[in-house]
Amino acid sequence: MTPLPGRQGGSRPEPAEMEALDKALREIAIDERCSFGAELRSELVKEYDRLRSGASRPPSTPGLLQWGWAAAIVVVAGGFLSFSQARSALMWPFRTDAAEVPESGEPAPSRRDGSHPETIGTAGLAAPAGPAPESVEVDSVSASLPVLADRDAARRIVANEYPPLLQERGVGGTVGILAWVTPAGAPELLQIDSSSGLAELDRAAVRAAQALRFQPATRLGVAVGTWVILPIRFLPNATEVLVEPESEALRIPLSN
Amino acid sequence: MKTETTSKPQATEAPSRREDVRGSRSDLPQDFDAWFREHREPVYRYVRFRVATRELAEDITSDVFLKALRALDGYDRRRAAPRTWLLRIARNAVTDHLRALRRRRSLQVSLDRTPDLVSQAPSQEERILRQEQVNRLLNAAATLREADQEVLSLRYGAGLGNAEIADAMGTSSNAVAVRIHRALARLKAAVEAGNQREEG
Repeated sequence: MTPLPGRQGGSRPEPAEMEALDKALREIAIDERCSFGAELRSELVKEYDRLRSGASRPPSTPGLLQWGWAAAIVVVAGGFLSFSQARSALMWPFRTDAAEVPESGEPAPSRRDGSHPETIGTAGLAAPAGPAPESVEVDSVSASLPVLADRDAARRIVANEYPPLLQERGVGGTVGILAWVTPAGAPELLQIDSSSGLAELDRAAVRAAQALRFQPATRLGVAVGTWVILPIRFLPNATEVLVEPESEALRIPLSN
Repeated sequence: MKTETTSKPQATEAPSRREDVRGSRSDLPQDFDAWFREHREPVYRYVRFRVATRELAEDITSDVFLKALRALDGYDRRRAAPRTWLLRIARNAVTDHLRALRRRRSLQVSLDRTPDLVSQAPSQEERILRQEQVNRLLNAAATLREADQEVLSLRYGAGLGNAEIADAMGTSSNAVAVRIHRALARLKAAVEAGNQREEG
């Protein structure tokens, strides 16, 4: 920062002192908790859903009254409806959905509840009609899962992030990182899926995962984004990162 | 079982949350989502610079974005850039929080829990040293007047440049440069006073 002349705050500090202070302040590393962003976003999505559902409520009482009054006017002006017909007309806006079932008795198609099983490769491929299958393999021709672009580079990245003090003391562990691998092969929206039990190791795993690059998942030959879990292992004598497509940790969303 | 599909691949925007992996998808307004991604960290860092703990910073940052989401319809891009708008909400939220603490006479000055601010330190020893330094700096900063804390938080917390700070504070870049310099001078004096107290 360019030092500027000071006129307040006691004696005028030397530029070098100010630069040191500036540097010390800049070096304060304000890091978010790894999963804070994802948690907050989830909270925002819920709030937005709530706001939207508030905006699209069923017609309010004045709206129903308007329909009621309109029906009453028709009844009175026409004068040819029976009491029961008039009552029926007046009650029309208040009828339940059950009264609107077609005579054929065919039930209205139910909305998919989206409760798909959390299994490997329940792909973003077109879901077949009917109940969601218990497990769907990813078609080896039409879809592929992300793979590390460079395994050696990945090992180096993980090794470089291993906190030296922990490594020296022989402390290791495995951290499961949930990440969205973009169509460009970059991991985003990282969250800790399973902790090693050591915050320092968890943070190191997140930093490592951020630096990894992948060949993205493909669907029908087109690169697509997908969620994966990256188990990152810190072993005192070697480092390893497991992201093989056949890993049971890999998941692909059904809906995107 | 192999799946057969003839459907065209769809857009592959990242599902917003883990639940989305399993099915129903809900999302945020597009603009807001982009702002959230782009400005969450500066907002959090600004707030964290001003309050005593990470938990408080998370609560206040959450409030900032929830308020912004609720007020989205009233936002006018011509009046303020998104970051300026969000930081304005953050400034008000921090001010409200500190005011409430003052009312309860429990304004937290001592920052003893700052491990999250030194996570980049390469070794345990260096981390302890750096944590002491950060504690001294932030404890001293917390004794400065509101306007000084404000400008230092925008600079060193949110990481804004002079022009952006000027935009957020409704002043000129030159005025910001002068304010930062004066605030640093007062901070230096406060740090020294704190050191003398510890030695005495």
